[in-house]
Amino acid sequence: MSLLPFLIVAFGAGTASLLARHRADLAGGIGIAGLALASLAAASTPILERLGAPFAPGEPGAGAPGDVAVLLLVAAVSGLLIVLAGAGTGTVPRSLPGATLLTLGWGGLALATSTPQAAIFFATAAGLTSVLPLLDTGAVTDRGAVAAVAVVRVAVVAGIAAWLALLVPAGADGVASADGDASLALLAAGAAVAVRLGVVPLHRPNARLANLAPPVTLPLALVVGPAIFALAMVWGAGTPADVAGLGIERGAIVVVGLASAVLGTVAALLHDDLEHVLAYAVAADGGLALLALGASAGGLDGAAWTWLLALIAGRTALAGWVVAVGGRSGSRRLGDLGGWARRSPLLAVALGAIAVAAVGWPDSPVFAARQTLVDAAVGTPLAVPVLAVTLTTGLVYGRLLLVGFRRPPPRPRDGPEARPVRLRLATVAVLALAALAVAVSGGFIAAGGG
Amino acid sequence: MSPGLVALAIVLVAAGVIAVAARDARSAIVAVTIVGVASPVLAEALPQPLSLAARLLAAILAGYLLWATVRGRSSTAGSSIGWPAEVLVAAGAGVATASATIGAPALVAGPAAAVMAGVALLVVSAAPLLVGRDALRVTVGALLAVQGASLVRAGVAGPAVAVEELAVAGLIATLGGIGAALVVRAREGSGGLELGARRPASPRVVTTRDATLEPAPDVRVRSRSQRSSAPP
Repeated sequence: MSLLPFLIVAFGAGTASLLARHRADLAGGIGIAGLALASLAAASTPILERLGAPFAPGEPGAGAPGDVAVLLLVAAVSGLLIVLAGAGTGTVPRSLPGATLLTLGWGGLALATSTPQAAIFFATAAGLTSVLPLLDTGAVTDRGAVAAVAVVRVAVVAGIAAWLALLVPAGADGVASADGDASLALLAAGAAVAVRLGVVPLHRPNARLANLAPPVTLPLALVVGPAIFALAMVWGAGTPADVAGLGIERGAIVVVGLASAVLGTVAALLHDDLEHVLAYAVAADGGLALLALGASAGGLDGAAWTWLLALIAGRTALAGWVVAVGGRSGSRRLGDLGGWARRSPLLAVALGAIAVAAVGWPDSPVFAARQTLVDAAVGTPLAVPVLAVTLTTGLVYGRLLLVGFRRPPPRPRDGPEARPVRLRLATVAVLALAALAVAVSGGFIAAGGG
Repeated sequence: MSPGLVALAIVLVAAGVIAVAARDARSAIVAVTIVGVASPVLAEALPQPLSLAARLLAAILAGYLLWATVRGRSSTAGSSIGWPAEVLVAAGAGVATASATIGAPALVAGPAAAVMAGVALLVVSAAPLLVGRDALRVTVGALLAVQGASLVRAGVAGPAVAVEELAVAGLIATLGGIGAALVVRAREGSGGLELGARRPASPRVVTTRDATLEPAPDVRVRSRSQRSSAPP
C-alpha cells in the first residue's frame, strides 16, 4: 500500500479546515474528523514503498514496514488528542487541526521520500505549516506572529543548511568529496539539526516561542515539526555520518548534544512556568537526538527513530497536561499550582505515566535507544555515568508531582475562580495522551523498529 | 559559459536585488515572482515539463497570495543599506563564485551561471530573512534563499530529479501561504507590514504660549495665536 490515502486525507481535510476557519465549529469539525480519518489511514496502510521505490535493505522501513505508518499514526492521534485537550479548556486556535493535518501531510512525504534532498524540503514545509496556529486571528495576540516569524526563520535556515550539507558529500555524480568538504557537510548537518531542535546554545527561538505562544500550539511548532526534520536528516540523509574520520567535528556535535541534554534538564528544573519547563525538556531530549549525527558508529538510525517517535508522543502528552492543569487552575506558574494533584488526581496519574514514558525502563525501546545513542557517542568508560546524568530528566517530572502534592495555597474568597468549560474532556484527552506515550516508549505499538 | 545563461543570471540577480531593496511592496512581490519563474529555466536548459510546470505554478501562486494580501500602496521597510550597496554585495558574491568555479571546474556539474546567481541570491536574502522586521520582507528573504539554494544545487550537482523539484515547488507555495498569513496578521496588528508594532495613535496636540519646546515625535506644537486662527 502507498501513502496516498493518508496524503489525500491530510491535505484535503487540512486545507478544508483552514479555508473554513472563519466558522469555528465547521473548521474544528472538519479538522477533528480529518485527524481521525488520517489516524485510520495510517493505521490501516503499512507503508511499504517510498513514493514508488520499495524500501532498500538496511533502512528502518525494510526491517519494519510499518514504521512510517506508525509514526504518522502516533503523530495524528497525538494531534487529535491535543486538539481535544485544547477544546476542553477553550484554548484551541481555529487553525490548529488544519495546520496539524498539513504538517503531517508534508511530514509523511518527507519520511516516505527516497530522495534525501526532497525529504529535507518536505520537512521544511512541515515546519512552516506548524506556525499557522500562532497566526490565528483572534486566538492570540500579535506576539504570536513574532514567535511565528522566529520559527519560520529557523525552519528555512535549517532547511537550507541541511540541503547544502547533503549536496557536498554527494558532489558531482554522487562521489564522496574530499575531507574538507565532508567536514563542512557534517558540521552543517549538525548545525541544521541543532538549530531546528532548539538544543541549548541555540534554544532562544524555542524559549521565545514558549514565552509568546499558547501552550496548546507548542507541540506542533516545538516538537512535531522539528522531530520530522531531524528524522528526515538523520534517517533519510545519513550521508555525512557515513564519512569515516572527522573526530573533531563529531566531538563538537557530541559535546553540544550532551550539554543540551544536561543544561536543558537544569533549565527545566529552574524555570517556574510550565511552558518553559516543556520547552527545555524538549531541548534536553533534542540534545540526545543530536548524538545520532555525532556518534562515530553507524546504524543509529533506528535508535534515533525510536527516540524521536517517543519525543513526539511524550512531549505532546506533557503539553496536553500543561493545557489541562492551566485550564483547571487558571495559572501555569508552579508557584500558583500547589496542590494541583490533590485537586486533580487523574492528571497526577497522567503526569506519572508521562514521566515513566520519558525515562523508560530497562529493556524498553526508549531506554534502549537512549543507551545506544549515549554508548555510540561517548564510548564504554563514560557511557554509564553519562547515561545516569541523562536520566535526571525524571527529576523534572518529580518536581512537578511534588508541587502537586504540596498543601495548596489559601484561595481568596472573593477572587475570581477559573471555571473552564468541559474539563472532563481535557482530562480524558490527557490520560489518553499519557497512555499513548507509555505505549510508544514501551514498544507496544511499534512495528518492530528501533 | 553560455552568454544567454549569463544574461539570464544577471536579470535574475537584478530582480533579487529589487525584491530586497524596493520600498513599494508590490514591486518587491513582482520581483520575487520573476526570480521564481526564471530560476528553474536557469538551472536547467531543457527542464522536464512536469517539474517546470510545478515550479512556475508555485512561484506564481506564492506571488499571487502575497499580492492579494498587500492591499493598496503598502510600503515595506526596504534595504537599510540602499540598492546600490545591495547591487555591490550581489555582484561581489557572484564574481567571487565565478572565480572559484573557474579555478575548480570539476566542482560544477551544472551551469556555472546558476551557482553564481544562487550564491548572489543567498547573500542578498540573508539580511531580510534573518533580521527583517516586516512580514513581507521576511517572506521575500525566505523565498529568495530557497531559490538561491536550488540554483546552487543545480549548478553543483546537476539537474534535480522530479520529486526534488516537486518538493521545492511545495516549499515555495507553502512559503507564499505562510507569508500571506503573516502579512494579514501584521496589517491587523500595526496597520502596516511591521510585526509586533502597535497601530500608531493619533498625535496629541499641546498648546503653549510660544513654540520653543523640543517636542516628542508624536507631539504637535502650536502657539496660542495659531490656536486662535486654526480651524476648529
